[in-house]
Amino acid sequence: MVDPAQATEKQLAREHTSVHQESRVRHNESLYSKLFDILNVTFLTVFILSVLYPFVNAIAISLSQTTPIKKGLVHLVPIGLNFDAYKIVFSSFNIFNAYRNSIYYSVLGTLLILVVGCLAAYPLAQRNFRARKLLTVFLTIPMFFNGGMIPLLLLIRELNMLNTVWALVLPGAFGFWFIILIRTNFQALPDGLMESARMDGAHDWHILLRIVIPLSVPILVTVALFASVGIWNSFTPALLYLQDYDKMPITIVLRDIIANSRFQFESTFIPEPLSDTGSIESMRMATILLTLGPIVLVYPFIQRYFFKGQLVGSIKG
Amino acid sequence: MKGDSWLGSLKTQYNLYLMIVPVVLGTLIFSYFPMYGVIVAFQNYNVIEGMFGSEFVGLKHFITFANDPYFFRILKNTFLLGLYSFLWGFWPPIVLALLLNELKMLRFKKVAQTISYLPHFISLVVIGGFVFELLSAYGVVNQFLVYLGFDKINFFTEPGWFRSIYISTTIWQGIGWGSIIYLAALTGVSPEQYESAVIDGASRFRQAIHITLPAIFPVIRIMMIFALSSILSVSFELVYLLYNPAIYATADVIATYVFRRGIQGLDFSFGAAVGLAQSVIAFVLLVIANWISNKTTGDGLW
Repeated sequence: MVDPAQATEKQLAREHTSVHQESRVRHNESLYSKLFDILNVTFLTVFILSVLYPFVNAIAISLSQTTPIKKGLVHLVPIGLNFDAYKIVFSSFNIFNAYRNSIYYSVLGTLLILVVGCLAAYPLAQRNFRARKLLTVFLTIPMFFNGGMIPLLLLIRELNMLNTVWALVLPGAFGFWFIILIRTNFQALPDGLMESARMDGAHDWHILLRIVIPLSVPILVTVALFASVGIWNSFTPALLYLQDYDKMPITIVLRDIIANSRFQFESTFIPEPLSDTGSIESMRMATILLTLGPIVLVYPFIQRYFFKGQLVGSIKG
Repeated sequence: MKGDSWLGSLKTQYNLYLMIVPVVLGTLIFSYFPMYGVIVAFQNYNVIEGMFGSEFVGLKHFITFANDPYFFRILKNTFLLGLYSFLWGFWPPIVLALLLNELKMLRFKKVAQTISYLPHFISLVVIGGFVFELLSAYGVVNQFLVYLGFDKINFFTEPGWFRSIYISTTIWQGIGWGSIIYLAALTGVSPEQYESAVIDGASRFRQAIHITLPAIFPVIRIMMIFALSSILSVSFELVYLLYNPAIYATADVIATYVFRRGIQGLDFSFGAAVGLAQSVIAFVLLVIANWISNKTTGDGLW
């Protein structure tokens, strides 16, 4: 069997170089072939545009006046440019609070995942670790079985973690998928590195912290990005475990505005629509964009990390 | 490794054992203990007596569930939603991967890829917001219908539309990301195979059949096993975000029912029983799917 780590590297290299070269030349250029190419590009262009449309539409609506929106005239460009929706949304005290909460949960959860992940991946990467197989089996089983929504909820309740940040970040901190990613990367490091460090008398903590982790920054960044985006976007845990409105992340607030509902317990402020400008639709779209904003803005720069991460993760899995 | 005793290993490798303490503890508490926690499905759980003190009632809640007036409805909805999601949703990522693979302009391919998996990274709440916007009375879909001469449709009060909405949404979100794993398999095909096929006079279509498809067949098989076994495990979040009481007839699934009855309704034991039933069936499906795969193609998950 080809060493998966090496095969991955090869595939990534091939992907990388192929960007800078022409793709394979086909000498058999029949008419059907050319026709297919044209249709393919057309179809994919339409596909891309349909993916992008909701985003552009959201921007347009968030900046438009009410009447054109109600008439369905707003598609890609705002009509009757005004910023009232944003003014109202920003002045709603809860948005800043919710934003702050989301950032807090995301950062804390990511840190936990990274710490737990690195600590777990290092021993798993040591071939002479006695408990390696046992631990792997132990961590794999929960990927296929879990107790369900209610036992977990009851556990959190009995641990007094309800309505705290821990209910949001702890259960997800031990996921095996991240550990596998990190372990694969640790294993790909040259053996000689750790051997010579050991011969110099370094113990494992030192090797982990001073050698292995600094060399693994790309994969750790990848894990951090996946984790933080995942937590930022999460909705159901907050729905289940949080009760105070001022602890709610922005996804819950956004949900309230979209469904035009007050959260089941009292909320602080749902903006009231004005008559002519700043309709509820505008405010919805504005809040959507605020929720999306951080992710979409950095996406072009970080998407290669996601792509590579999924590549490695899927091959290994 | 011979002669290595556990005790010896504990002494020399104690640092390693120390390092795995967090993950072991965490997994024990948050993954394994809830497995034990399904015991509440067999109890009359109440918060005062807790998991260890509540009265044991055996299969009472399962029987209650089987006799529930909504039993057939939610099973049917969950099953149909899962089945249609599989039938309609399994192959678009494959098709997208194949089409992207055929692109000659690599810049365009990169751009298309990047944009295609953008939806995977946005929250389901946002996606729900998009859906409500696009399908609203003044949204782009209804406008298009009016333009074609049809009446406007109220997508959120007629139960018949829910499945299509749900499936289209999951496809929109997952097609780009799902195509990555197939693209990964496709980049593993060596260009020499294509070149020699071309020299042998194979048309592009034949190349696709004889080289490209076999290359991703193993991936397709594994993904299909996973997909089939999770038919019943329709996700809670998207259904919850898209449904409303008017369309419970088609939209209410096991997970949302558990939420309403078991959590909001504080009927914990009942909810746990329903959830457990779902897990068991999902596992059985996984085993069956793997058995079928082994029988028909000689290989599977195990």
